[in-house]
Amino acid sequence: MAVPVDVIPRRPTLLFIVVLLLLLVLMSLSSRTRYVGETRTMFERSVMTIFAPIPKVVNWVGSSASDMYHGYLDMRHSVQENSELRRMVQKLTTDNLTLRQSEGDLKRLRGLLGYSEEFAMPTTMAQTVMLDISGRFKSVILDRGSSSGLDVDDAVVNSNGLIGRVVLTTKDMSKVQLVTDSNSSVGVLIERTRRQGVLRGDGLGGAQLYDIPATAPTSGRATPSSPPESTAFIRRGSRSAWSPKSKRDRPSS
Amino acid sequence: MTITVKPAVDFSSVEEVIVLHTRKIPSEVVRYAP
Repeated sequence: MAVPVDVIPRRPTLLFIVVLLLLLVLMSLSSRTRYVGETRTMFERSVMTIFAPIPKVVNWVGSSASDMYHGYLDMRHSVQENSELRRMVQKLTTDNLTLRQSEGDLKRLRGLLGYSEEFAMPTTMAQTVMLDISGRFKSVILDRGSSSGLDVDDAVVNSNGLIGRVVLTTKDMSKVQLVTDSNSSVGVLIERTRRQGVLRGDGLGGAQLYDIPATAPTSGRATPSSPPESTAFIRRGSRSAWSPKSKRDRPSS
Repeated sequence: MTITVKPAVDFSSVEEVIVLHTRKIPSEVVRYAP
């Protein structure tokens, strides 16, 4: 029959004495087993041999746990840093594209502004809002109209040359007929020979130079190899932005 | 006779233009060298 715990008498003094006696016995055994010249007794060596792996295991577990914890923290930090870097790369890529676009716009506008300063007459800079060059009737819609001073028959140019003329204006918009339009006709003359003609759009992205006298010495000049000599000019001494592409097609009778 | 000419302007990429408030096209249209 088991004795209740409360019934067992507690004798800490007796236990203390027993432990002390045990320690005395162990110490006496240790002193007897010490060899000459040895710093450790056999008991100490045995204890160290038995318990030596335990600190190693504890140290390995501790260092492994520490490494795993720090590795986990580093991984979390790396994931967060990677996410931030990806966002930054996307933002910088967008900024780079925007800056490249702005740089191109700046160059183009700077060239256009410098070009507009070449003219002594009043000019207005406008932006195309619609471009219709697919059909036979070539036209461009500008974002400026009569409120900006635009009027019908105003000439429209850019830094590359003549574009067309204004054919319709509203308060805030205007329509420009391109020189390649099939209904467009511009009086021109050939620079070298001073022969006059009419430049008509062919509706296909090019133009034809008509009404050049058959006796005009244009052969040998209206070739791609000599564009400066064969540049076509607007009548009244004003130049157009056209350069002949090919030679005489057919002599008029 | 008829001469086929090719425009110096690429109309498909026209963005900004200058409107001259005149019908007469000045000589700077060609003389300008960007």
